[in-house]
This record gives sequence, C-alpha cells and structure tokens, in this order.
Amino acid sequence: MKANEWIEILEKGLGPLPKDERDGVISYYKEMIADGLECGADEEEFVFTLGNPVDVANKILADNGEKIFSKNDGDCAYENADTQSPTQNDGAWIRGLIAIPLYALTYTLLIILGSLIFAGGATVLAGVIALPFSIVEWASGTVINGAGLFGISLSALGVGLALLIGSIMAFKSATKLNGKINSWIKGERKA
Amino acid sequence: MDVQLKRGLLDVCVLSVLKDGESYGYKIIADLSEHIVISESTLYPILKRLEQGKFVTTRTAEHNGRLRKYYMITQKGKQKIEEFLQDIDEFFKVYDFIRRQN
Repeated sequence: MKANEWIEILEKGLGPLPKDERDGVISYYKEMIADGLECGADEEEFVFTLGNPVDVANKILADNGEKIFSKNDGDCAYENADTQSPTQNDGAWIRGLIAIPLYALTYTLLIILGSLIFAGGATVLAGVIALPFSIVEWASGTVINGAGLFGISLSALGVGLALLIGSIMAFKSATKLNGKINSWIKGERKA
Repeated sequence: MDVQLKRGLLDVCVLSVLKDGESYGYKIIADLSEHIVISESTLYPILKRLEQGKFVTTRTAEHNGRLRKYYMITQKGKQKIEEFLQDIDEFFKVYDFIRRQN
C-alpha cells in the first residue's frame, strides 16, 4: 500500500471526529511517514509497520470516546449509552408471548386464593357467631346439642383461621410471582 | 507488561527524551526504541495527553519544505519526571518486601 492510500483510509475512518482533531491525526501520520522516508525507509514497508489504517482509526476513535467520558471523573470511562447492548430488550415480545399462559396461571391462582381468603373469613365468622349460641344451649340444659355445637363452632374457628392465614400467605407469594413475571418480560436481570 | 503501568511509564519516557531537548514524533520513537517498544499509534495519544496536560508545549517549524511539529518539555513536565522517580523509589521498597516473602 502506498502512503497516500494509507492516509486516505485513515482519514475516512476518522470521519466521526471533529475536523481539527482529525487534521491533527492526519498531519501526525503524514509527518511520521515523511520522516521515515527521509531516513531511507521503503514506503510500502514503512506504511506496513504503521499497521492497518482502519485499526489505527478505530483505536483513536475509542481513545477519544474514553476522553469524553473521563471528563465526568467517573469510574465509567466506557459506559457510554451507545455501548450498551441494543439487543438487551429484543426478546421482550417473545417473553411477553410466553408469559400469557403464566399470567393466566398466576391470576387464576390469585382469584382462587382470594376466594379461599373469603371462605376462611366466613368460616371464622360462623365459628365466632355459633360459639355463644352453643354455650347458651349448653347452659340451658340441652347438653349434647350444646356440646356438639360448641365443638363444631370451635372447629369452624380453627379451620377458618388456618384457611385464612394459609391463603393470605399463598396470595402474597402469588403476587410476588406475578411481579417476577413482569420484570422478566421487561428483560430485567433479577427476574 | 500491564497496560496501565506501561502507559504511565511511556509518558515519563517521552518526557525524559524531551528533557534532552525538543524533538518530534519520528525521532522520539527512534530515541526510545532501544529502551522500550513504542509504536507510532501508541505515541500519538501520549503526545496528545502530554500536550493537553501542559507537560509539553509544541511549535510547528518548516523542514525540507514541509511542516514538522516539535515538542518541548515544560516545568510541569519536569516535575512529573521527579514525581515518577519518587514513586518508583516507594515502589521498589514494596517490591523488596514482596520479593522477601516469595
């Protein structure tokens, strides 16, 4: 490759740089080549030792990007918005599609658990209401009826409470699961 | 050699060359080449950095019908060499300590 060609490719590669910046690089390499030739180097050989002009241009562009971001004094010299993978959210619609049956499942679960909470609450209420009746019955002489009702209302209270607490806990878990599906669709890492 | 370490080292090497008198790109590489490997594309960002940090100043002069950019060390540049030498002294104390344990 001749020097002119090499410089031309370099200049093209430096396109995104501001003009004065680009001119600085070009004159640096032109001077370098001229000095090399002046010292008796073979043109093509010397240009070869300078490396691939595309690589040289890319390296300068990268250095320049680094400089722009190091102005912030941050630790994130290369954390340019442009360098973040644009493919990060490409799978969102596929995930959304997969999530439809998942949503169906979790919402059904939530509805069932909601009904169970209601049922648990109703059972507890029934137990609480029946309890004084059983005591009154017991006290008024119908011991067997009273004792039976007392037992039933206590059982209702226990079963209802267990149902209530169990389904509330399950409801919470199901809500969390729903949230996880949400963040998974959005492509967040901690899904 | 570690990239960061070599980068800092090369900065001081270039300053050290310029301490002997003003110089230009091609000659800086030629003067350094017997001590450390440095390519044209490595030197460019170093010179730019040194110029921006005011460790060197530049002038452009005509040479054989073309322009050549000359680099001269500043007081700040000389100070950087001194700081480097002091750092290296400390570095060697740590080096001795590490060597003793191995």
